Amino acid sequence: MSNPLPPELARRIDALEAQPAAQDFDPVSWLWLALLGVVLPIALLILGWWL
Amino acid sequence: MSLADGGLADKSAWPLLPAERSWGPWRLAIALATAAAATWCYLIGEYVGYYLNFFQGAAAMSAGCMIGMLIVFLAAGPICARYGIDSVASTKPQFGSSGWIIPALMQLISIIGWNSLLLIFFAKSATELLSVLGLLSPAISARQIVPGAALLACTLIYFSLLWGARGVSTISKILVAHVLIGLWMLYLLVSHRWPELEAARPALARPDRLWDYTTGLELGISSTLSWWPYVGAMIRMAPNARTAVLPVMLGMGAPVPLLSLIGLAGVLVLKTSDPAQWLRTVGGTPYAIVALLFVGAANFGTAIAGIYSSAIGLRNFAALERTPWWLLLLATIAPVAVIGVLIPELFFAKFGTFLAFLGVGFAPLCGIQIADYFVLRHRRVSLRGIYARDPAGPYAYLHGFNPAAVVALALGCAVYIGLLNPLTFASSAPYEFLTASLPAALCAGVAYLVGSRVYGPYGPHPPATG
Repeated sequence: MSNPLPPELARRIDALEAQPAAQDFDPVSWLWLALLGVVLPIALLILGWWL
Repeated sequence: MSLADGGLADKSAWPLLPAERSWGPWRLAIALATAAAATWCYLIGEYVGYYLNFFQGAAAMSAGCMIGMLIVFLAAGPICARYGIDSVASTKPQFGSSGWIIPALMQLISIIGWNSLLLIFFAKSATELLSVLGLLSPAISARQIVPGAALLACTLIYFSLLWGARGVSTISKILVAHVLIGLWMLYLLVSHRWPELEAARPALARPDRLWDYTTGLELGISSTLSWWPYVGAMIRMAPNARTAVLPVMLGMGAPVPLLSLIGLAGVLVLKTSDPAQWLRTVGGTPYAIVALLFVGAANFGTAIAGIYSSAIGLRNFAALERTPWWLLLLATIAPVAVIGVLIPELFFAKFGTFLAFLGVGFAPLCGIQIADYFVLRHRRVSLRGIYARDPAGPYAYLHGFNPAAVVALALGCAVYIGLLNPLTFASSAPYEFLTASLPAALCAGVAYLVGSRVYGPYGPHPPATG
């Protein structure tokens, strides 16, 4: 049996789902993620191996 | 509980409206840095220092922390930031309208464990500080003081968090200074003991250099993966995922390896990762006092963020949805207080075992979330489905559990343990080339995608929104 959502929660969901779909990350964000989460670690690993 | 005025929004697990997500990049970065920088940094550094020298340890640990941070952020970040929900709520599309209890329990046990450790450490530091300052009678042992100090810390955290997220933010702004003190401590050790540090050899280094190096990397990755609960609870206060990228990667990912260097340098040179002990060796009592204040501030700040994250996670249980905030906080902090008061020494002794098994679960969990959000759903989830208690809802699956996610999680855990036994550190090939966390996350993600197709009617079929 369906359990109705509390009115305030339903209001919040309506408000958020009515918003236009936005991108999570723009190209600049992806660039930072790639640099800090992939390129930097690989560079550190290579550097550390030879130290 | 009414959230109509928005003033209580940060004390609920309900989605936050854009107007309520007021944390800008700096505020978020400060809160995350304060949450991440704690005693666990010394422990991470200490373990790495058993296998690697200072340079290799610093490189492998830093790389691991940044990789782990990326995985956690890609797993929980987009959905938490988009809808202003916490990490536990973000697992409902994968695990189901009842199955989310599995990651919720993982979060609860993880945070209770971590915070018990931090508060016991806090209590020990406070006790030692009293002793160093001559305020503690020699007739009174530390064992007698620690339970009382732990209870005092719990009380302070409780009253700080009555403000909700504002309490976390306010305390963070004050305590973030300890990160700078930590870097000063690192400078002291490096500058005073550089020749010894350069020559120091790790105590448990194996003949296989690659194995040691991979283990340093693995320790960095797996430690950071347990930040999963904190990331969601904090970045839901940010307006969007883009705003959170640099605060998460630099504010949370970078301070951990930097402060872990304290433990790494300490264990290599002075055979102890506790800065309170080695600063006394390096600079005498005044330095020891600074270190003890640092340890206390660091652990207090992190424990505040942890208890807050845990309380928000508990809100996802229907029975606790309308519980007054003060009562929910009390329920969250009570287990920590009980451990800190009744069994601090026993918990300390057994904590490594407890922690080792926790780390195993978060890698597969993150792999499942990334596969679900980016591959299976193409970044579209049903917010209404996350909160619906309808048996025919989009995330109802099989009696509320998604078999694909449960099986994938179990498989990921098995892969991790198969590659690296977290208790004995016995490993199997190809651990030395791949680590254990990365294959566990990958296998769980792939298994989840395959399982979602195989299970057919129980697979994801959300009315895509957002």
